[in-house]
Amino acid sequence: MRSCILLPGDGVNQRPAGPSVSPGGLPGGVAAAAYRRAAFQASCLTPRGPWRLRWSCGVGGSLARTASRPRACLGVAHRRRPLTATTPFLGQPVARRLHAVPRVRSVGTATASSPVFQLGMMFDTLTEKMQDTLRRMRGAAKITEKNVEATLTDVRRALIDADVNVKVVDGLLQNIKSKALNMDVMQGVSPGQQFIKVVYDELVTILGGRREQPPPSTAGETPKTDSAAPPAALKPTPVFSRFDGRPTVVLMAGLQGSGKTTTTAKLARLCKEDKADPRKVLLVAADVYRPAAVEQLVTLGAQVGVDVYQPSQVPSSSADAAAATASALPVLQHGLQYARDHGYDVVIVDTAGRQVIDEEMMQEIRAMKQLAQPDETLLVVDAMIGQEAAQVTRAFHDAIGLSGAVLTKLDGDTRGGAALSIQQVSGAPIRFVGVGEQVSKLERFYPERAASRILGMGDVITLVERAQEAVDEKEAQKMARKMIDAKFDFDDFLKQTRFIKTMGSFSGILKLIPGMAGSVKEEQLREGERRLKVAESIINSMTRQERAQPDLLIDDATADSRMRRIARGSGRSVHEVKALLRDFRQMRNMMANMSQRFFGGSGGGGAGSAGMPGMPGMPGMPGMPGMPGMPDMPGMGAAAPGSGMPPFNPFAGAPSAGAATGNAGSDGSATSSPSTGTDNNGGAASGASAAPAAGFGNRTMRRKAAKNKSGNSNDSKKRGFGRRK
Amino acid sequence: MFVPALGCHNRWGTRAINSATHACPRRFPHSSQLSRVRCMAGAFDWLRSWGERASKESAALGDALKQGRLGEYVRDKAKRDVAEVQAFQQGLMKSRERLGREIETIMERNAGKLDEMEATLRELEEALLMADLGVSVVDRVMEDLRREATEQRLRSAADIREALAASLVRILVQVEPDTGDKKAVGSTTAPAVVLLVGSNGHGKTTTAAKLAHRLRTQAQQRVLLAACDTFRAAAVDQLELWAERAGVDLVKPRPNQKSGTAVAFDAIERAKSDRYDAVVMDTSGRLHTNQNLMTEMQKLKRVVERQLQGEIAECLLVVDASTGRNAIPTAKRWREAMNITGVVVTKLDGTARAGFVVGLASELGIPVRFVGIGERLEDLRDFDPTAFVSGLLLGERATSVGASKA
Repeated sequence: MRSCILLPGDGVNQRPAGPSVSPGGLPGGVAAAAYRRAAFQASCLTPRGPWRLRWSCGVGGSLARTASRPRACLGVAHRRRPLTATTPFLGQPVARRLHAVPRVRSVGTATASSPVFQLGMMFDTLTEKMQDTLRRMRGAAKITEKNVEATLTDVRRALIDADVNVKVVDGLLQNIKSKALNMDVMQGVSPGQQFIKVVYDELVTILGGRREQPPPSTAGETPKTDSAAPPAALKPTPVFSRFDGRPTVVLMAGLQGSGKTTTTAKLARLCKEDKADPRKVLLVAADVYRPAAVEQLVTLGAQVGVDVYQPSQVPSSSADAAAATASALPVLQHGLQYARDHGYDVVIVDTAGRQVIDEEMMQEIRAMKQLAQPDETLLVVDAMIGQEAAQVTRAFHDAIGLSGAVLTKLDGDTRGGAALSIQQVSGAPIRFVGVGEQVSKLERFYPERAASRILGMGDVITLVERAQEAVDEKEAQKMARKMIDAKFDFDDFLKQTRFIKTMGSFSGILKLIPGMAGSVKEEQLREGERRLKVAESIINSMTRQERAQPDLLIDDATADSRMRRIARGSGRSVHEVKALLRDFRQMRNMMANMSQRFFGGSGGGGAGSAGMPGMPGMPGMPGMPGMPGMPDMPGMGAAAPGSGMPPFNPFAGAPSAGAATGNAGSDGSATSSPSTGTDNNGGAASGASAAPAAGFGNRTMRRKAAKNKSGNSNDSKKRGFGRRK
Repeated sequence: MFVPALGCHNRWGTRAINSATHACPRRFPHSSQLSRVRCMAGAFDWLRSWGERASKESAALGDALKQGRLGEYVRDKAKRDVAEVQAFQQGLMKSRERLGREIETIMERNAGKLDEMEATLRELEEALLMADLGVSVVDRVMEDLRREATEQRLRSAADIREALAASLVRILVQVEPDTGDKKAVGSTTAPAVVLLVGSNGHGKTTTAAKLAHRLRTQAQQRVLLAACDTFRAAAVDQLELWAERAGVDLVKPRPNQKSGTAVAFDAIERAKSDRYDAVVMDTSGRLHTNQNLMTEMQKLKRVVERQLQGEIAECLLVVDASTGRNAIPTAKRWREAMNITGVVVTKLDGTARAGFVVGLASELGIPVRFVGIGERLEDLRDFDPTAFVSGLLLGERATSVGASKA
């Protein structure tokens, strides 16, 4: 529920409709688009587990919003319309909460032609278009066949352009239609949003949907398998286990170049480094056709530290030794024997790529399946595949009966509509996705995330998980305290920078944020990343003392000469060093401000009791480090629009979320029944955004502070931070 | 170190090219580096240029007429055309079968009630979408068809098929490269460099080998392969095997040489000093969204061009035929970054129909240079729009006649 929090503070929907020009120069259309998409995300996710939503406001929220408006315009936008206007959303019944949506629409229309907006459209046409076409239905009480026709056409086109198979799309549309028809239009919710939610839900269902449903597996063939598939999605145990002492056999199949060999190695790593149940893995290099395929697997095997059974290992005494260079079967046979003899837990068989019309090769893989009796038969599919996916899947499924699929190269910008086809045609779930060239880049597949991706909605959950992985909670607490005490120094800054880096590239992160894909130019992101790098190099040239006491560089007598030295040391100009310092100082002041405002003006002292409970929240904080590079970036003021680095300005995102925690903090806590593990962090995230929020002394916050002072404080604190201890 | 490539003794015997380009002074074959470059450029032009092929054809016809062997010529020409189309169709067989069959069924079902044109067209649209043509292309094609339909020109199933094919061919032909010989200018000493780029697993290494083989055998070039894929495990081994099969020389990374650019540098050095005609560079696969890797590729190109003191001859994007709509943003990004001169579509021997090719042409104006239709070295063919479309759309009988016009 709370993810909608990130919207109101947007600064766009609160402004009266009209020529929307954000003071920062970034066309308001971006924000409006972001808003609508995010609202959509919110409506989509709502029924799906509140804990996730809390996240989306904590991290995704603050980040998402930041992209919509450069920092410089913050004060203006917020003062113009106090935050109170937005707070009623929180914790209100759905209908009322989404009441603001119609207001946004007008903004959207006014700015739809802005170039930046169009840039975003490139990737996000679907949701945009739906909103557009459904705007016409505003008066209608119901979604009817008539008024939904045009939208369905758009949905169809968009899905086909996302490489979803035409037949699958048509089936899907049937379902969507019947569900959407006669659905009452909720008061204040745009029919468009409602409709998109139907589409989203439908996609999720097709993609393997609810996790409670065990995905179909080949249980019939392998009764002894503890088919780890169903719980796998929930538990951290991956992969394959059986308890009868025989090795689990996994057979990989696919077209040429779909990534079988690489995936084999990645999978081996996953099994081997499975924390719950590490296994002894053997790879069998049964691709005897492609030149150097065996060598490739051997190299990869060495990289992940697992053994590889090669054709050359086929015992020369056996009659198969000669055949092993020309046929995969003897290699497989002896490989399996080898695995049994040497007590391997998992055997993964890499096979040659084949075209499905190559009857000879298909016969071979049938024979291999027969021989190996694998527990898992995984189809490896390039995520870029188009309509072809259905055909390929059907052919392989008919030939060898798939138990699952792996979608590779999903780190590109493909929408991955193939996932739908695979699932539909074979009924086999997508088990894993390959998201990078490194052997560690194999992840589990989550239907919800894939649906978001296909619709171009971003993927907040993954973002949060990545943040979770990257952050060290204690460290974050320490840092938060420093921020509040205005003792944030360059060491902290460096840590924050590195934190961001562990999460991935800016653009990578940004893609996960709802509505952000495509809305910020690549160059801007790169510029931002470059600046962070510059900042890091400058800081690395500081002495330890300077890093710990930035004042030495600011108002010390030696500051000038120190700066010159640092500039020389880092190969940067003095100007750049000064710019960094200026940004840094600004940031620190801001932090001091916010802690003062937020904690009733008593600074660190007051924060002690009141603020600390919120501290674990700091994991959300790391959005910060983007800051220093940012404030001074060209165009941040009113100059060149968008040449700054908006997306990682954490402050921009904060106020609304902060207000959320403070004013209507009960919302998140009350509505969520956090699942284990997410609880702490969930609260944390909102706490995190709460902290910076205070920095913007807008009226709301001041009012709130005043309120707190006037005796309400305990109560509101309790509500705000109740879930965190 | 230096291993003479097979067939290099015949390096100037580029008869076909010469007659087409009039650029290679056969009298001074070894004295002029320029001529070699022109030969190379000619080779490429020849490989892709319809106009020049036609002029060659007419020259041959003229010869035949002069020598009074017209009948022989016609027979020969017919044989060649049929062989070409058949070879192409073999690769496309499966995809054609399916779409062709679909269209056939649609036509049959609606035969006799062609007044219900709209229904027919809608079904056709579906079939076209299934071929990855993409919504915008299909819209364009359908618009053409509807216009023709209103003009009452579509009276039979065959009419529709032809109109459809014509529409698609129009899109494809409009991007046929102009045959400007910019490659001949600029540099006088450098070999022609072909750089192969693309996503992981789309077939760059195999294509590199096939292309090298083709240049050696068909264009009689001395070809050097450069294994610039230093990232993927065993990629060099793979190319080494291919190079052996193709009978061309290979530049491998030195031990511990981790940079593809360095290998490219070495390759150019060697090509210059050993006077190779062409260098085919295999690079490591990368997704177009990976900025750092794209930058690396730009660097490689920069280094090579600096060393050549001129532009590289071709930068070809290798795309798997099974790729869907993502081929468009991919190619777009590659064009921005590397100014690709064309596309090689691989694995067309499968069921994939590579409908994105039409999208590439209509949305980005990027032509297809070659298609890979098998796993053998010889399985790299010129891209022939007419044959491609007829393979895509029409039944077997209809095509063998229609396509030979090319």
